[in-house]
Amino acid sequence: MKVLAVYNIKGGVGKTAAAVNLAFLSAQSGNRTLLCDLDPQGSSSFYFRVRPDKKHGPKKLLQGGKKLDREIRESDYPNLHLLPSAMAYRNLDIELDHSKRSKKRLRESLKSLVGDYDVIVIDSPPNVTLLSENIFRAADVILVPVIPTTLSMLTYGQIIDFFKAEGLKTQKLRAFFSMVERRKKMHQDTMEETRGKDKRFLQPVVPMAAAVEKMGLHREPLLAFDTRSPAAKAYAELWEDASILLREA
Amino acid sequence: MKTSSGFLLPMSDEGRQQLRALKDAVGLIAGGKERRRWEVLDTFDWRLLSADCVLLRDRTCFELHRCAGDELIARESFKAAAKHLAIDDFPVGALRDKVSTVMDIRAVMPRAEVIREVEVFRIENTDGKTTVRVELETLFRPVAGQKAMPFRRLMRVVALKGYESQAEAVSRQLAEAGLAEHDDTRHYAFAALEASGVTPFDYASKIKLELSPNLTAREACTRILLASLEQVQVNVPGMLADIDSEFLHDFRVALRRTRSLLQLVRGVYAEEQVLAHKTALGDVMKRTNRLRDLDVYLLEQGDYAKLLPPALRPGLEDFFADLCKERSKVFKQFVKALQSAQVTRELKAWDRFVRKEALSSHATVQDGDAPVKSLANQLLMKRFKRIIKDGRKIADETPDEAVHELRIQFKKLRYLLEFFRSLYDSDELDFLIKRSRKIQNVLGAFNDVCVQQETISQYLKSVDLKRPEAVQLCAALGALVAELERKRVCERKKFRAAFDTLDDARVLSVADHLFRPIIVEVSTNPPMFAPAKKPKPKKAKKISR
Repeated sequence: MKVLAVYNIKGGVGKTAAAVNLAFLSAQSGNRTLLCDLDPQGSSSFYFRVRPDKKHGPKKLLQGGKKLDREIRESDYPNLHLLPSAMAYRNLDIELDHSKRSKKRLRESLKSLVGDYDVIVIDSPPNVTLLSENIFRAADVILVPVIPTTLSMLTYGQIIDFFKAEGLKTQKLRAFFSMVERRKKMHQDTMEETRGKDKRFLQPVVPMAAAVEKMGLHREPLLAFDTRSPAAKAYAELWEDASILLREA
Repeated sequence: MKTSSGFLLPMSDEGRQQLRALKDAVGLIAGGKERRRWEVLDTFDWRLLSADCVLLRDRTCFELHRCAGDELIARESFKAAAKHLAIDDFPVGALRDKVSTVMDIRAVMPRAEVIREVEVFRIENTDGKTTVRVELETLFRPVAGQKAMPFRRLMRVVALKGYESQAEAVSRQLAEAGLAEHDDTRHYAFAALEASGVTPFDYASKIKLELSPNLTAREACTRILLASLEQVQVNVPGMLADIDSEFLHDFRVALRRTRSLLQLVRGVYAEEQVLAHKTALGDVMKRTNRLRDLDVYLLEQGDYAKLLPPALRPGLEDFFADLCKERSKVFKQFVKALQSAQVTRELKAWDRFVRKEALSSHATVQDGDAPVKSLANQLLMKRFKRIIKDGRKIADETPDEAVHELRIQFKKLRYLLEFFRSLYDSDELDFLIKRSRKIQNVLGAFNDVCVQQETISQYLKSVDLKRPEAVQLCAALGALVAELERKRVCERKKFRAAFDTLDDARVLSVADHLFRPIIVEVSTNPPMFAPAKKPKPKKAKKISR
């Protein structure tokens, strides 16, 4: 079982879109896949039209085993299951803070699902908290979507600094450019400059596209209704890279 | 995803109406439809089904399912021209790994054909999320030149994880609508086999006979002969189609059993009637000898290679290439011989004898009217004593012939035990069989090595030394003979220890108890077998150390 987390401190950078489509592609290529929506906003869950049980909350997530398994919902697509988010996840940090081994709880909880799934994709909430640290420790590969703008690059730098300060493995970290607008020269320049000095960036570039936004209308992963748009192709390439990273992790 | 056992829909018009009504009542939304034509593959002796798997083939697509609940275990796509496949025809991969130990040396062949059409429906909640899937599965039997015949229609409720209660509600609805629940959770391959008139597990290489001790010797022997005859006949088509080497093997075993029985139970049938058949069957047997030898060699190709250092292996490949060529020649000859008028006539005559003539009484041979148990006791006791006597005489320096002779004695004993097994207390008999297995394995291995050595030496004599690869060929075979010699000596050394597990006071007393001659009242059954004729059978010599 391999765990892939999509993470950024910053919101609105295309995390959920990436997580949803990567999970979909993973399932399509035959992996029994679980998408964990840990973001209390619940966008991933929305895309899959899944609502959590009313009692679902951080306790069940951290208990793992059967209690966690009971909260998992099968999506409309083969091989793809979803752990829906709940508003109560906003209290995850408090729950973690109270528990022992507070930085490894998520990893231990997900471990109880070994054998049920080949790949777990985590859609993370945008912040740096105890939960984020749990995600870093649970994941084999962490993908950071980065918009090629100054502010976004700054936050990316903060993530790397955080990893180093906490003694986390920076090898797990990979980034890709997201919501890129071809017409904007600044985007192109930033990308070129970054690629020159940072080898963590993967080749595929996810463009800013109306097709991705349409996911909200369709309430489906992009790849389920569109496989030909540049964005869809970018996700497909991104999954190819990610699957290799997961295999090697 | 959990699939319920399903509900049966009648195949009639009424069924169709019921379906239409249900679609509306339950709120089914139509999804896709898939129609595929599958061949159910298995070995002749049903090894895959026995191992709880079903192998299906749709042209180049192969799927392995579990018998219960049709869970997919492995899927592979590859091209295969032949209808039947040996394990080497499967490409390296998950599927091959799964079936290789199960199939072993047998090949899989088509056992039935089925067209499976699955129409998928779904039920959505207010968010548009699918909560339940319903599959409508229709099975058709393909009919040559005509429209396929549908023979089963099932509606299955598929529960999605996390939405089980909704699925239960739909199941309840279907039950309330009057649909009959179908509680057979076996794979649809079983239904396909049944529809094609094929009975699964209808063949096993071992004969299992339930003989009652009340039968006369003639009745019992005739049953054994009949079972063996059926075994012979049922293996013929597979043998002629050359599906795998086991058809010939089982064919030979059944023939040998038959001949062995005829030889061992003298006095049950009129000798002049049986004699001609014995020769005829022996003649058929003889024609298969070389083919079987070649089969054995080719099966052990891999093991041979392991005996030699890599440098010498190319020579071995030449050897096996020669054997392959010879096999295809010998096979053709064999097929021709088996289908020849003479052999066909002989086998038919044998069939007639077993099915019709054997049971009719013959005034001259009244031994056949005695109870089977006393015959079995007599035969087994005699054979067992003989084995112990002969075996004790064999020392390390005794010539190999004596060992081979003993092996043949054992074979006869084994056949007798197989034939009459059901007449004895199974615990005691199993103990005896278990104790004799070790020595039989040693003798078998010893014989194999000797035969192989002999054949290779013969082959070496015939090698054309002008061939360009003659040197490497001879080098490889020379090394092989030497290696086999080492093995031969090794097996021979094991003889004494293995024999002693059988030649043991406990075993002897069990045998003595099991096969003790039965005292039959002379007035009811006047003519008896030789030992029973003795005035005081109780005194029959006990086996002692």
